[in-house]
Amino acid sequence: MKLSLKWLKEYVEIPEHLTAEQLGNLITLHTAEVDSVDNTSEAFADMVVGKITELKPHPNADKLRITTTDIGSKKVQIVCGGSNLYMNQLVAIALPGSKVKWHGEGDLITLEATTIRGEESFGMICASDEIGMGPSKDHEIMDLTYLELAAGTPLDKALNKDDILFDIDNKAITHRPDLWSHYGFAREISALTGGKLKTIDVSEIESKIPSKGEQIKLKVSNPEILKKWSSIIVNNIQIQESPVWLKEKLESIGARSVNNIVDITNLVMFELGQPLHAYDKNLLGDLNLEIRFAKKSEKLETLDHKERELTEIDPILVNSDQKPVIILGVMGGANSEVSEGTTSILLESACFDAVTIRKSSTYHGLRSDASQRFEKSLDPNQAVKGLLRALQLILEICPEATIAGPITEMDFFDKKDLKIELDPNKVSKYLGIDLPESQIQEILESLEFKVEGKNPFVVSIPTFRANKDILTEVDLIEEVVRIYGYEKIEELLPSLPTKSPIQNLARKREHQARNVLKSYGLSEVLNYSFYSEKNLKDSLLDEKNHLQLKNYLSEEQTHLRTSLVTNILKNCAENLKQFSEIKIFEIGRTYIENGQFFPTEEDKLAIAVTGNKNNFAVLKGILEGFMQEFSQEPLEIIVALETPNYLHPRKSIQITNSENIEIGFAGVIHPLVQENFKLDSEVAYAEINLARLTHQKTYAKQFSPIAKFPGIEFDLSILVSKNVYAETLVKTLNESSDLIHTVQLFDIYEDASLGQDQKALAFKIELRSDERTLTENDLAQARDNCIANINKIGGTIRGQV
Amino acid sequence: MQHQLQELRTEALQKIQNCKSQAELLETEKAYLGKTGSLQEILKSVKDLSADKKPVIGKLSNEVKKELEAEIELQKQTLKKLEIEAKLNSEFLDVTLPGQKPEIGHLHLIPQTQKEVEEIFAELGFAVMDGPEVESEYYNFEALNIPDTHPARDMQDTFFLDNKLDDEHGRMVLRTHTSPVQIRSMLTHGAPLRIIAPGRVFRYEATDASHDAIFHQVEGLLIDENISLAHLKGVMAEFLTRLFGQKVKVRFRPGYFPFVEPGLELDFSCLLCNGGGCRVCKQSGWVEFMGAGMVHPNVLKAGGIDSEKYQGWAFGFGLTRLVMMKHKITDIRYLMNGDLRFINQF
Repeated sequence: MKLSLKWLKEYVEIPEHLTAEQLGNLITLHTAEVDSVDNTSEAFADMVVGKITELKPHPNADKLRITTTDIGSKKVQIVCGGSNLYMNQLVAIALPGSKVKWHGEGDLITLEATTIRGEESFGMICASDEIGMGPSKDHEIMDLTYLELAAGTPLDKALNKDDILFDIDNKAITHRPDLWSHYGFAREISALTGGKLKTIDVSEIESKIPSKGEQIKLKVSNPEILKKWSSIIVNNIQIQESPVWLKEKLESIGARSVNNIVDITNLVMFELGQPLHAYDKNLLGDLNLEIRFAKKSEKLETLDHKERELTEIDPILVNSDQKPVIILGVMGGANSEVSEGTTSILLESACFDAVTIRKSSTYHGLRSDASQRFEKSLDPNQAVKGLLRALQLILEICPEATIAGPITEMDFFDKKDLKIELDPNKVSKYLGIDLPESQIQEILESLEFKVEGKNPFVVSIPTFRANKDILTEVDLIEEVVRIYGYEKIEELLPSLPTKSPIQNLARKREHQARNVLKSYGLSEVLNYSFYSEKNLKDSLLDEKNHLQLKNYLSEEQTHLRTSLVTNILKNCAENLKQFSEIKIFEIGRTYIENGQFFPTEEDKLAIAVTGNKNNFAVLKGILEGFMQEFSQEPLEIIVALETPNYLHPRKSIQITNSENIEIGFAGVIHPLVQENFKLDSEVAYAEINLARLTHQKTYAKQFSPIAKFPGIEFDLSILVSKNVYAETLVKTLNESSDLIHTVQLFDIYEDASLGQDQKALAFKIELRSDERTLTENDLAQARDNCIANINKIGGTIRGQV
Repeated sequence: MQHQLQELRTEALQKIQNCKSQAELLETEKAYLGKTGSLQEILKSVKDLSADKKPVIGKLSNEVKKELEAEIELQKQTLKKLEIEAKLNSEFLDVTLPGQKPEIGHLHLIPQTQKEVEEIFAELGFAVMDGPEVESEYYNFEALNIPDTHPARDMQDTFFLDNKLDDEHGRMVLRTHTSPVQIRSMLTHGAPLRIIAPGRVFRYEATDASHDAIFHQVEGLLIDENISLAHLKGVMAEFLTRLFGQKVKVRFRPGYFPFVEPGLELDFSCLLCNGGGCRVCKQSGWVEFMGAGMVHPNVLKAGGIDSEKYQGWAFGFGLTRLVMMKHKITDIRYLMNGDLRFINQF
C-alpha cells in the first residue's frame, strides 16, 4: 500500500526535524515494514514550467518549430515537434541534465543541450508520457496553462509531485484493519512522534441530512453477510472529470481517476479505510433491494466487464426483479454502474463479514481495493463516517447535488465496549526491562486506549482496534512493547537449564551415518517427498500403500513416497548424462498408509551405485563397512528370500539384526525398472530403515588378546558349480577344523576351460592356536579335512588329481 | 724437524681447504695422514731423535695430526652441505600438479548446515526435536491459534491429502511450517522446555528461483518461568555470531504471526557491510531473517502448559534461505534436484 507524505500531513503534524527516511524507519521499527521511501521530486529534477514567448517555423524541417521559452531565470531556444503549441502557453520543460522517456518509450535518457537540424535546442518541451505523467494523445505536449503559474516554477511543485511515497508491505498489516488508510497511519504516526492528530469533521454535513425523503427498502435475508449497512440517495448529480486536486491526489498513490463520483468513493477509502460503492440509482429499479447469497445459476457482469458465474458463497445485492447488481464488498455490477448519464446515485458505505468477502474474492480471483480491506475485518462503526465524508466531498464538487433522504442504517454487530485487564508487571516480564506503570499508561493513551484502575489496568479498546486485532492482554502488551521500542530490549542469555537436554539419538545416528558414507566417497542428495503415479508404477511399487495429494502442483507430484528408490533412480539417470560413475545416498522420510489417520513416517537411508564394473560388489562393500561402523550390534546380511519388487529377485540381499528384524535390503535394480527409468547402466540400490537401525541395542566392543603364537596358512583353489554361494564354501571350510582362524577369498576365476557352469574360488586359510606353535602335521590334517568337506558338497580342488 | 712439521701443517691445511670434492678430500687425507702419508713419514724419523727432543716433537706431531683430522672433518661437512645444495638445486618437482584426491564424497548443504545449527543450539542447552511431516489441520493450524478463516488454510497455500479426515484433527496436510512440533513437544515434555526442531516443510506454491514447494525450516522454542524477549535477542545474537564466525547484531521489528504475541521480525546486521548499508541488504544495513515472538497463551494452552506460570518465545527461520545466503546460491531449485554438479561443489 502506498502512502503519500503530503496526504498524511493533512491529518497529522509531523515534527520538522524528522526526515522522510527517519519517518519510514520509525514506521518500520514500530508499526509495519516500509518497503521503500521514494522521493517523487527526483523524477522531475531539472524540469520547470516554461512559457512560450516566441514561436516560428523551423527552416529545415516541416514538422518542427522553434520556440523561445521563458524558463524563469532566462529565455532559451527549444526546438519542438508538438503541433498544439501556442503563444503564452505554459508547458513542461525538461532542461539539460533531466531524465526523460523519449516519446514515452524505452529507458530514461539524460537530456543534453543539442542542435536539431541546425538549430540549437536547450532541452525539451514534454508530452505527459515522456515524464511519467500518464499517456498523451498523439504525443502532444502537455498544456499546463490552466495552472496559472510563473515561468520557472519547478515542475514537481507545479504538478504536485514534490512528495514522498512510503510503500508499506501489505503482509505487515494484515492483522491491522485500521491501518489500511492514510488516516490510520496518521494516527499511528501521531503515537510514534507525539505529533498532533487532526480530526476529519463531518458534523456540518450531518446536520444537512433530511429526516424524511427518498430511501431504499432493504431486506437482509442472510445477515451473516454483513455487520453494518448504511446508504443514502443523492440526486442532481453531474458526472464529470474530477477536479485537478482530486485527480492528482489519487494519482499520487498510483490510483486511476475515473470520474468525480467514483474518485470520491476511492478517495474516502484511501483516506479513512472505508470502501464505498456508488450505484446509478435509476438503474436499480423500484429500490426494493435484498441482500442474500447468490444462487448457482445466477450471473453478473462485473465492472471489469467480465461475465461472472455466481455461486452460493457470493454475497450479493439484488433488485426487486431478483437481478444481482453487485458482489458486495468485492466488485460492482456493470448493470448499475455510475457513468456519464448518471444523475442520481445510491451511495453505500457498509461493513461486510471478512471471511465471506475473502472466500468470494478468492473464488473469483478478484482482489479489489475494497475486498482487500473488508477481508481484514473493518470497524463497522466507521461506515457512517465514511458515508458522510463522501457526501461532504460530493457537495463540494457538485454543489447542485441534493441529498434525497435520510441515511438507511442497519446494524448486525455487538456494540458493547471492549475492556481488557492488563497487569503492568507482565509487560516488564515479557520485555525483560522494568517499565514504569506511568509509561505503560502513557503509551496506551497515545494509541487512544483509555486506561482506568491500577494493577491491573482496565483498558478500553477503541472500536477501530477492537475487531480482531486487540482481543486479549497479550495484544495490549504488544502495543506497549512496539511503541516503547524493540530496539531498547537488551541482549541477555538465559541461564543454562538445570536438566540436561532431551537426547535425540536418531538425529545423532543420522549425522554419524552421513559422515561414514561421505568418507566412503558417496555424495548426498535431497529429493522431493512426492512423485507421479507413473513413477511409482515404473518402480513397481505398490500403489495402495500410498498417500495422495488432493491438490498438487503438477502431475509429477501426486503421491507421497513410500520408498526413496524412485527419485534416486531419477537422480542416477540425470547424473549419468554427466558422470560415468555414481555413488549417492539420501536420508529422508517415507510415508506409508497404515489404515489409521496418521500414516507411518520413517527415516530411510537409500544408497545407489551405478556405472561401476561391479555395482553390487561396490554397494555391498559400502554396506559392510557402514554396518560395522554404524551399527553397535552385529547385523546379518543374508541372501534375500523376499525382496521389494524393484530389485532383481536373484541379485538381492536382506539385512537383519540378531532378533531377525529386517533393517533393510540391497540388490541390483530390476531390469524392467532400469528400463523404465531409461538407465543405460545397471544400478545397485540399498534402502535401510534408519529408525530401526537407531533402536539397535548398543554394546561396547570387547578386547580380544593379541595372538601369542604365530599362525600358519595355506591356499586352496576350489572348483564348484557357478551357482554355489561363496558363503557356503566359507562356512564349510570354517567348520573343517578348530584351528581355522580366518578364511579369506582372494580370487575368483571363470573360464570355459574350467568346464561349463564352473567357477574357481581361491581361499587363503589361516590356522592359529592360543596354546602352541602349530606344526606341518597340523596343517596337513586341517587341509585334508577341508578338502574332504569340500568334496562332500560337490567341490573339487584344482590341481588335485 | 719442528720446522718441517710446521711447514707440513700449513701446506696440508691449505690443501684440505682447497678440496672440491669428497674424493679429492679422501686423497688428501691419505696423502698426509695415511700409512704412507707425509706425516707418517715424519713420525717414522722421530725414533732417531735425541731423548730430550722426542717428547717435544712427538707432542707437536700429535697436535698437527689432530688439527688436520679436525680440518678434514670440517671440510667434509662443508663439502657435504655443498653437495646437497647442488643436488637440491638440480632437482625439480612440479608442485603445481593437482594432488591425488582421496575418494571422499560430498554432504548436502541443507543437512550439513542443519547439523551446525543443531550443534550451536545444543551448546546453548537446546534439545533437537522431530515431528511428522504429514500433519493434521489441528496441529498445523488450530493448536497454533490459526483459525479456519485464516488464508493459510486455503487450498492455494497448503497441500491437502486425499481422503483423510478426522473428527478431532480435521483434514490432513503436509505441514506448512515446523511449528506443529512446538505443540507436540509441549504435550510430550511439558514445561520448562528448550528445543529446536529443524525439518522439511511444504507450500502449495509455484516454483521459481526463490520459491520451492519443499524447503527446510528451523523452529525454536524456549519456555520457562521468566523467559523474556531479552533472552530471544541474546540467544539469536549468540547463535548467529557462532554460525557466521563474526560478531552479529540482531534487531526486532513488529511482525504478525497468529501463534505469537507480541509477534516480531528479526533482522541481523548485514555481514557484508557490517550494518553500513550495501547492495545485499538494500542499503538498510539489515538482513531479514526470521519471524518470532512470545508464545501466544492459546498455544501454551493447546500444549497443556499453564500460561499463568510459564511464558516463553518461539521462532522459525528458513534453513534453506540461510544456506542460500551463506553460500550465495542464486536458485533454490539446485537444492532438491540431485544434480551432482551442484552437490559436489560443497
